[in-house]
Formats: sequence, C-alpha cells, structure tokens
Amino acid sequence: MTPDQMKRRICALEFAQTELVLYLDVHPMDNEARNQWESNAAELEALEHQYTELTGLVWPMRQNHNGGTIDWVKSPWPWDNM
Amino acid sequence: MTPNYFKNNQSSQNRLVPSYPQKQSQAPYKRYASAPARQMNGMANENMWQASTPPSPNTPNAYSPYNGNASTAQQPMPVYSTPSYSQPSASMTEYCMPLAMAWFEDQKYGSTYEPENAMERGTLFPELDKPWLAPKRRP
Repeated sequence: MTPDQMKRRICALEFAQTELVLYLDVHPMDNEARNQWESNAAELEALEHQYTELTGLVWPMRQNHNGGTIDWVKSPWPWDNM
Repeated sequence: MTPNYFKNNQSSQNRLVPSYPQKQSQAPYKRYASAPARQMNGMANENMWQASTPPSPNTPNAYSPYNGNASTAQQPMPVYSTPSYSQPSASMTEYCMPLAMAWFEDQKYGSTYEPENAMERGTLFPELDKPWLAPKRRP
C-alpha cells in the first residue's frame, strides 16, 4: 500500500465509523454493528500507526507514535513539491 | 369543553402577571396573562402584536384586591405578547389537533458497503442510498 492508498483507506474507514456511530446511537445493542465498529477501529488504528511511521502525523492534534515530536513542520510544504 | 391547560392551575404566588378568574364565555380575555397554554408548542396567532385587554376589576370579588374605592384601584398592566414559537394558535390548542404525524420504519442492520464505496455513495447503508435520479433540466 502506498501512503496515498493508506490515506484514502483511512478516510474511508473514518467515514464508515461515523456512519456506524450514527446507527449505534439508535441501536446501541446491535452486536453485528458493534463488531463491525470494533474491527474497523482496530484496522484504523493499525493503519494510522503505519501511516504515521511512514509519512508523519495523520492529524496534527494527535501524538506521534514515534515519540511525540511535531514533525509535520519538517515534512514538505505544498510549494516544496512544485 | 375547556381543555385542561386552559385552566389556570398556578398558585397565586408563582404567578408572574396578575390574572383574574375567567369563564369560557369571556373569549376575548382567553389569552390574557400567562396561562399554561402559552408555553405549549404552537404557532403565531393573529393577536400577537395586540395588547390583550384584561378584565377591569370594577367589581369586588373574592379574587381581586379591589375594595370598592375607584381612585385607589390598581389597574392591571396590559400584557404584550411577543412573537415566538411558544405562542399557540387558539384553534390548534382548542381542538388539540396534531399538525402532522410522521412514521418511519426501524432500520435493520444488514449488508453494508465497503468503506471506499460508502464514501463514494455518501452512506454506509444500501437501503439509505437514494440518489437523485430525476432528469437534469437544461437552463
């Protein structure tokens, strides 16, 4: 998986999680939906971990798994890639 | 028949504005003071901007502090109603008719889209995937 594919997968999983949360608000005891939510959450966490190690933070507010540095400032800015 | 919420069952100490005993026949005074019906759900009514006229306490009775002396009689303040969504329409509250009723079926968890597909479709659930299929109008 390239970082771009990982990013897309992360976005898709977060969207799916949002939808599942909306469903679980109304059906809190639906085991099938809860299992889906949990497996999505596990995959999301693993993916975010991988992505963070490869490219840096997914979200600036979160802590880096590598040691808590703010290394998104060190990553290339959009004009650096032009 | 008078609905229950037209009857002023507040105690006199909790009452914010002076209110006087009213009969059902005194229709113009129905909206005077803060009757509990005021706080119910409702719509704007036609008398929104008019000061409702309170009954004048010219007759001594058990409910009024008026003792018969006209020069010292305290006139009740007119109560101005402001437009708000808590104003009931008289006809609606009178007959207790619901404005509308909605019904929808409980959603059952079935098959779901894959996350990527869900992001394309805008929903995770195929049963909620209702794209707008009407033909495009040309300008």
